[in-house]
Amino acid sequence: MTGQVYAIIGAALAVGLAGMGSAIGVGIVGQAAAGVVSEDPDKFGQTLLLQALPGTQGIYGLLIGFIVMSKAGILGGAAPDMGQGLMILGACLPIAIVGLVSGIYQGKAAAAGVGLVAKRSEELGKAITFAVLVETYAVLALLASFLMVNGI
Amino acid sequence: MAIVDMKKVFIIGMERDQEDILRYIQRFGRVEIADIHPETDPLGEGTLAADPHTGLERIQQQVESVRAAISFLAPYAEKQGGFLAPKPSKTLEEMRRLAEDPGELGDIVETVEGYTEALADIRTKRLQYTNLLEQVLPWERMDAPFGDIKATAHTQMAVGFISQEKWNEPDRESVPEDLYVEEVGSDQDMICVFTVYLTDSDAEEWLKDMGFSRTAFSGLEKTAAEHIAQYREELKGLSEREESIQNQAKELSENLEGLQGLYDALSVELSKAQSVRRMRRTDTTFLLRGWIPAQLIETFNDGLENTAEDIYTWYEEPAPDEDFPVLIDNPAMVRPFEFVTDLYSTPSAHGIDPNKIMAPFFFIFFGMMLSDGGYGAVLALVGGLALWKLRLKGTMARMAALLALGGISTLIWGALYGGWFGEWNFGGRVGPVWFNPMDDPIKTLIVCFAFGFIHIFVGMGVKAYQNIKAGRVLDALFDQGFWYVFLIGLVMLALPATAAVGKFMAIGGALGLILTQGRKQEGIVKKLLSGVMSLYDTTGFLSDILSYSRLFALGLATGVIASVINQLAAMLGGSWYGVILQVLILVGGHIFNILINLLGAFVHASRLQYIEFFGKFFEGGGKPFSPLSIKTKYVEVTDKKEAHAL
Repeated sequence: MTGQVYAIIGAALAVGLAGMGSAIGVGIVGQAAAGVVSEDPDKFGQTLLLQALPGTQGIYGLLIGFIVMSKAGILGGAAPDMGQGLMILGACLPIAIVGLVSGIYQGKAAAAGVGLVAKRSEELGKAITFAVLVETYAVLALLASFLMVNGI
Repeated sequence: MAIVDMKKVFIIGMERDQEDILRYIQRFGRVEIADIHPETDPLGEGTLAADPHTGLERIQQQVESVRAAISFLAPYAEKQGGFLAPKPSKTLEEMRRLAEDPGELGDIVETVEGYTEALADIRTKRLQYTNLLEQVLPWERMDAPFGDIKATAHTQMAVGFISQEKWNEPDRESVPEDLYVEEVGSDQDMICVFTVYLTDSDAEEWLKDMGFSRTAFSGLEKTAAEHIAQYREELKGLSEREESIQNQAKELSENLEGLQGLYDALSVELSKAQSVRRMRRTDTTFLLRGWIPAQLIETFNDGLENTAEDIYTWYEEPAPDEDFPVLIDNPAMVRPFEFVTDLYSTPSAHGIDPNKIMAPFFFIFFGMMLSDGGYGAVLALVGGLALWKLRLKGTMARMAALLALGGISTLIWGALYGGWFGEWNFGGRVGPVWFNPMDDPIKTLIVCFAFGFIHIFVGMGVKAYQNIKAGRVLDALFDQGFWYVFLIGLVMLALPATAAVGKFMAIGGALGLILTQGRKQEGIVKKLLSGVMSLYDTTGFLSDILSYSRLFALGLATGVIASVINQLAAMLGGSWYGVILQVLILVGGHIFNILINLLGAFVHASRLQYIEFFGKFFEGGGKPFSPLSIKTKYVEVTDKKEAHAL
């Protein structure tokens, strides 16, 4: 039974921290985007696209959290013992930590991209690319967390 | 590859035919008119710049004022037809006549200009009166007219403010005898006071102690109440005037469609007039230089000869290092993918058009990252319907087609993986055609890396092809060939069955790289050193390959979130409101999931092209081909001849 506590803490960290990262990131881009749209309402679509980019970390976190829940006896599976519970907690850390940090920094990169689009709207592709490079590490962390949780 | 060959076209003609010839070129729509600089271009020697009286400025001004009128009237117009309504159609002749003589539409534009000015005037005046009103409002209860507040021979009369704090202090009771002070109103935390006192008495000292700040109302004569009534009256009048203008604007907005037609007609004339500015002339002739796709020359020439008789035309190849405008021509299936490349950069004129090679990879990667058969069907349907019903053109059509193609790919991958709206296997009834990635994540990762390996190798292959085509066969061998041998060797080394061969290949490849990668350096030591250092690029290659793990990770995100939605919905149910909630969660949840993952799949599939693939060979920075053509925003031109496929 005690193992389940750690599994839940792990799932909560994955969902909570990665979600925080996305919330901050999306918020940063939203502020920049609103400024640009106040000058040029036609840029709403382009800036919205950039704003959505840092939103994925939260989803990755939820994904790991959900797999843990369905494995650790909350939505299915059997309650893990102490050792397994701690392992699950450890497995959740990559997406929790990287999700938090990369969400914020992707938000900053995307906000700078909003500035780029404000001046040269034809360069949207490059603005997106700059922001997406940050996300690579969240994807890698998601993968690491998934493989670890899956392997336990 | 698929960058269209461009030729320079030169036309010398008589000035009297200039208008007809330009109209022909515009209708032909596939000639870009280029500048002629007489300083650098011997051709332009002795010619004159375009006649400044061609009316370019006039048309520009007209277009601008029609545009302003449209954006002024648009909010008043009743929306009709919406998104699906077909555009009104016009012939070229109609457009031309409209541009020459806008008739009553011209008067409407002028009227609207008047409205705009009147509304701006109303806004300024309203601000003015509101400010005045705010100033006078606190003094409403004072019955002395402002005009009467002035000094006499022995007394001073003044109005001003004392802070609430000071006013409420007890020592206010010690008012000097020769001072009269009365509270007449308040403004936030200030008290408005009216005061009369003897000049040179200690009243002034008292007022100073109280922090009295004197205020004056220059130009106001009557009492505050009278002024307030006057300002309110003025403001009411302004509102009435504004309303009447708005009503008139609403009536005028019936002509919006006509104005939009006029806008298009004038824009067509404008782009023609702008082209004239690029040309050169003498007293009776003109000289035009442009770019034309080589395969259209014959059709163009035939039509041109029918347009004017006294005309001299010739064509030239671009100089070897000259950058010509880039027009891309691809088969219909590849065209949607041009959208992805265009987002990045137009290929350089001397580079290669990557679309054909990139398309299959984008197709596969996009589907892999969504990998849900149900979602794929939805996307294919939405994209297909948009393409079919909305009669989209240009970029929008490409996006819709890309959506439809991506949907098909997603459908295929969903079937391979066995995921349908987040349900894996449907209780064993619809099994995966290939395998379920959730059951065997390592195998899925290997599949992703294999795709990455192929993708990157193809990218290097394109670079090798470019090198060979440019006659640098050795470069191709050294820079791509040895890497091929080395990297394939490394992979084979990892597999037990081929390890022995792999060892030799890896060592051979590495030796080749060590010996050749420093060939641009001077001195044997430096050459070898940079050769050895080049092996360090293997890490870059490794990180490129690892980057393809996103193909799995994003597919995972779609699938797992979809099943979360299903499980959430499954928890409800049982009662009638439960079923309603279930439907809401299922529909809303899956739409949200499709949208967010659609964005992810598109962005990451593009990124894999931009960074991992294009990085190997792509040369961007080309200037897109922008021919003189008939471009309309609101109107469909019915007789716009487009006999050419490009």
